[in-house]
Amino acid sequence: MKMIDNYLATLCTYLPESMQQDVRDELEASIYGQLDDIAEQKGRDVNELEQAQILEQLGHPMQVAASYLPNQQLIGQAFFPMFKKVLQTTFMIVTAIHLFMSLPYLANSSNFIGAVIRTFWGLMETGVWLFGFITLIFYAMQLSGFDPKRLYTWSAFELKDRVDGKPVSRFESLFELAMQVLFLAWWNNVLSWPVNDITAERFRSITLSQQWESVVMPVNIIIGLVMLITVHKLWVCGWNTINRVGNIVANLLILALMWHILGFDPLVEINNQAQLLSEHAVNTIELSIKAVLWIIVFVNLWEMFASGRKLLRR
Amino acid sequence: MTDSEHYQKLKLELRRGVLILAVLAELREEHYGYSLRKNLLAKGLEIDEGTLYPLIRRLEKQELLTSQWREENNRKKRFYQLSEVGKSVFAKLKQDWLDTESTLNTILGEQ
Repeated sequence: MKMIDNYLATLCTYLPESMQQDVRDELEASIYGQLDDIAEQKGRDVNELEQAQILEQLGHPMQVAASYLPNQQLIGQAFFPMFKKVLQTTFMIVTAIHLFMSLPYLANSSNFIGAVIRTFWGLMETGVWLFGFITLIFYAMQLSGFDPKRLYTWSAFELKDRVDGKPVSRFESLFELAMQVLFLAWWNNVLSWPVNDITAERFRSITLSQQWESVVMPVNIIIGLVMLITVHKLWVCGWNTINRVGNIVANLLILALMWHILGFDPLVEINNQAQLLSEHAVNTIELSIKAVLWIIVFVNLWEMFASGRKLLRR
Repeated sequence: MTDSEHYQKLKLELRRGVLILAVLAELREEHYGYSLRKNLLAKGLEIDEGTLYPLIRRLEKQELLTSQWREENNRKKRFYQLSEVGKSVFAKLKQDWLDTESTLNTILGEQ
């Protein structure tokens, strides 16, 4: 019967050669056994529709073939937690390095948005390679019969003190710290990155107002405090009373600073080439900056509320 | 997930463990794949072929079953039966099952 032969031949293409004949004979006997039963019940030969029903009940040839094969998972259950951890860790490190290495390119690019998109795609490409590479290593470890227990060697005595609060992973804190360093570098023009040059060509005629100069040092001090809190969080691997109180103080300082900045009038200044910009464009930029500032205000209010609630519960 | 989906998922998990015992019990007598499936179905246990056939091959690989190709009605069929190791393992598993059943009945009867 052509349909059954086709089905079995297709199924065999998904199996290694050594298994093909065995599986084919076994399934063939089963399928024909079922057809014989139907023919006996109905007192006539089975038609094509009935054959198709039996094959469809058996399942897609690829799926049926797969059920005969061992190791149907790329990364098995025993290896998966460590695989995930390694992926997370390497992604964070590579992201931080990639962003840092991209800074000069971003700073010197005449089209900032285009440069950000290219940086993002570069990061995605690196991420895909990294994912493939790590997956291959773990797959090879599984194939070689590597004992997964060796990946999870630990002692109850060596567990980190999670102190009294929510545990925070060291990599999470490291990532935060890297972002804070990058912000400080940008804020202080360490990378020769003037504020008015980071915008696209048509916005070059607009700069932050002179009033912003008054907050350069306060921002450095506040970010310095936030970095100290992050270093403490990194050290104790979690939140505790000290870093929570420190965080509330930092939130209050940021709120005061935001209040001060929101009072700037104007937020941006138009230089000699102002005629290149429409009034609408200037208003849009002012509104965008205000929106960002208000987002920072709400995030800090929420953080303060959350930290305060945790402290009161203790 | 609805109640019915939860039920179906848990039912499958519950069945998965007892399938091996049922297959080993049935293979105290010689069967080929389809006749084994028919026999289990006649006794109320439905197993799809995609689960049953790979399972009996795995049990054979673990030397719990022996197999033999024979021709019947002009068709090659692979007949399986419990091996000596299989018989011994089955006896122990059967005892475990009876103990588990008794324990579970006690637990279920408590409410």
